[in-house]
Amino acid sequence: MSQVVLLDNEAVRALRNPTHPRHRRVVAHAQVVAQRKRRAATIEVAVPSAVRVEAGWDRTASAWAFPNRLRITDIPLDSVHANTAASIRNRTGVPVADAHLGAVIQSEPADRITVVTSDPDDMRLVAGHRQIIVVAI
Amino acid sequence: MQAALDDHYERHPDARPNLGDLAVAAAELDGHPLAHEPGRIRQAAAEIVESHPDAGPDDVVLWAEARAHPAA
Repeated sequence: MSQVVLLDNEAVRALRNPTHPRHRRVVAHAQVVAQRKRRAATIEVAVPSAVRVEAGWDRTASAWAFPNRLRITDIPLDSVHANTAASIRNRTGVPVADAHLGAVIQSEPADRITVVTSDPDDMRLVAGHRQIIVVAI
Repeated sequence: MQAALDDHYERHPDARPNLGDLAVAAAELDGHPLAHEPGRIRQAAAEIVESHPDAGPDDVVLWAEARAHPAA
């Protein structure tokens, strides 16, 4: 079974900042992923590029050195995702980053999708008919 | 990935999750029903390390599940 763990804006911010109240909690999720990778599980952590922009994650900035080293995959806002995200945003009024998350969720080929988020309701909203596991931080 | 985490723990010891934290995270990532009962998972983590110091987070979730649903 393949699994992708998607991070929202707040999860990214929490991961970067050791003084963030949810830092240790998000690090725990990253640690579990690392341990499962060592056991050859098909699991990855990913972040839609619009989420990365909203969080201010500049991969060239030293302030982001720790998240940069965690092999978190970027999911670009390509043409197909942009169309889906625009539709989600028109329908729901969610921020652009959440709309991109929704587009990623709806097109993600992984068997299991987990979203680490501070806004579970919005994630369920943008997921549409796709079943997701929501981890509220 | 593990090297990055280990370096981070060295610089920020408070960021290192304990076994209970990891077991809760594992249950959450999988959408396990016990994810909604973190206290039960943390209790299982405290119990299992006494007899199995090398237990991992998934072991703890299994132990917590067994404790929650004992065989008849």
